[in-house]
Amino acid sequence: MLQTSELLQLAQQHQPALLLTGRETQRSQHELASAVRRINLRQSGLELMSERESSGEHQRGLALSLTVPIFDNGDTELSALQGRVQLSLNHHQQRLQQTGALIQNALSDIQSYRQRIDLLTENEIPRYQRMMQLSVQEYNFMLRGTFELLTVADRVLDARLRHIDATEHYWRAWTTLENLVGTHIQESDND
Amino acid sequence: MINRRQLLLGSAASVLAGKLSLDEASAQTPVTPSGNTQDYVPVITPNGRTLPWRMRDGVKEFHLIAEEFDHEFAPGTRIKAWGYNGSTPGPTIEAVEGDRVRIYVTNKLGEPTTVHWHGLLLPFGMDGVAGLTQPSIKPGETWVYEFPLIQHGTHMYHPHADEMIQMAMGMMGMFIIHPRIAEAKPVTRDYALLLHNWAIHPGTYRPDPSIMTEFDLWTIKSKVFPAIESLVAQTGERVRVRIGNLSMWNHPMHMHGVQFEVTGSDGGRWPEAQWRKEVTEIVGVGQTRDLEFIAVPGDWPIHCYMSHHTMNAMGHSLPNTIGVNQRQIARRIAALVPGYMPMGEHGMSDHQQHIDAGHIQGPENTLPMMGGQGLFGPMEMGGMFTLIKVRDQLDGASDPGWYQPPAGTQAYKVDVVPEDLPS
Repeated sequence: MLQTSELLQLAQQHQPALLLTGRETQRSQHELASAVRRINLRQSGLELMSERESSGEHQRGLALSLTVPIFDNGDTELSALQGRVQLSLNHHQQRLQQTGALIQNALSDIQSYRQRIDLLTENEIPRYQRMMQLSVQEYNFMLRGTFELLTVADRVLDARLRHIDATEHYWRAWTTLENLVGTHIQESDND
Repeated sequence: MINRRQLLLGSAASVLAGKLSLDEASAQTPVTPSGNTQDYVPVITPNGRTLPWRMRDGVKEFHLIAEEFDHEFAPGTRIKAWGYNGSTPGPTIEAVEGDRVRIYVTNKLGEPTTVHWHGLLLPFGMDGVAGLTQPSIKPGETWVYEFPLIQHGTHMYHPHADEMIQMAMGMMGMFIIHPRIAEAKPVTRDYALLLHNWAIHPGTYRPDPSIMTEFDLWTIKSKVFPAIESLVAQTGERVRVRIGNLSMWNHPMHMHGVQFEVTGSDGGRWPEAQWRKEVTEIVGVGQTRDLEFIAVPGDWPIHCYMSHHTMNAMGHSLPNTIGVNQRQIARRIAALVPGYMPMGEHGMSDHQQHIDAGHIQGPENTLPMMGGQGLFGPMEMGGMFTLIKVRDQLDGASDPGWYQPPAGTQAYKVDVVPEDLPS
């Protein structure tokens, strides 16, 4: 029996939209990391400096660099990148949650239509067919009329139509599930 | 003819065989307490029997057991019926005017019952009406009805507790009281028939008591043709057919071959001046009629004249297809409904032929509408139909087979119709 959590894992590996939002998140995270590294070079701090004098002598010592807060030293860019990362993450999570919910719905539909098909296949259609057999016997025995017989035949056809309808909906739900997961799923996995 | 002595010995033998579960030690060769020594012709109950009895302290003792059992209307239809002593109708009670009877009634049903002695003149407290003349007989109880028989005639018995259900399930029987004084024009054979109707829906095994008009089976002695035993007689014998009706329809009972005389009812045998000749006599619901005739050779039908009552299970809301060419529509319906067989364009006669040939498989536990084979082919009958078989000489009381019309006394076919024949 298929489980939502397993299918969601599959979806994360195969669903194009999830892959896209995932990669978008990664890309914005890389951008942010790169910007952080770059901007950090311009940050205030105490450093060990080494300088070569014209005499060829090396002077070593502590250096103090200061950033004056009246200038933008990359804070805006970092904030924007951080916001983009958060947005990407949110998009991804939202997509993930939405996919999970839709998978659950699709599974529920599949299960429901499967039960309906089973009910029709194993119970209702044989029952109506049996009713029709008995009705034919009764008709041929002059116990009931043609119109009553046709009414029973109509029920058999109606049950078959409902079977076709349920089968169509079953495969539509299955297709929806495969779209959500992004890959082919063996039907036998649902047994 | 069975004489009274043989009958009494037979009854005693049945008692000894254990049919009557009363005190065996007190069983004795019965004598009528009234001192009546006249012989009577015992009643023959086709497909049934007479209830055995014994004498005790000058009283004829009977034992009726209300119970459920399997019953067959004809091969092909069985039900769980209710009745008495394992049969529906119950065994015929037979006694003589002047007898005092003591009837034990044991209730083996799952609900209370009583027995009403239909048409009998008796003390109020013996009339068997639940709640009115007595408390009902609860399951497992045995009650006793005791009264003198102060009349003669053709009577019946049935419950008067949950009456609709219990009668629909088959609880009824006949109670024949022979006159104390020997009859003028005595009969040689005396038959008792009880009419009833049943709602046995296709595929079911319990009568449906809610049905009021659309019954499936119309029965004589809870049997349908061709399972109803024929009545037999010898040429020239005076035969009486007692008919009781505990169904929910009146039945105009018709007899072929004779003009019978209506000679009696539950009021006893009428004075001869009141007898009248008929060929059809309506036996109303709750009535009995005695029909007497002098037997003439042949296999003569006796049947209800309501033609639906001489059919077995059939629908009563079928579209009329007489004269309808169904060939095209039949093909289309057969495509939808495998096994569909259109019938009835020219009549229903081919129905029995298809059934007899095995072309049609009917529903479970359901008899075909018509059936029965005579000497010359299908009889296309059912329900309340049987035969009175009369022969110049009978070998025993069993069915003598088919009557062969003497040469020159049978309808015949011609190849040419005379031209000058008016029509």
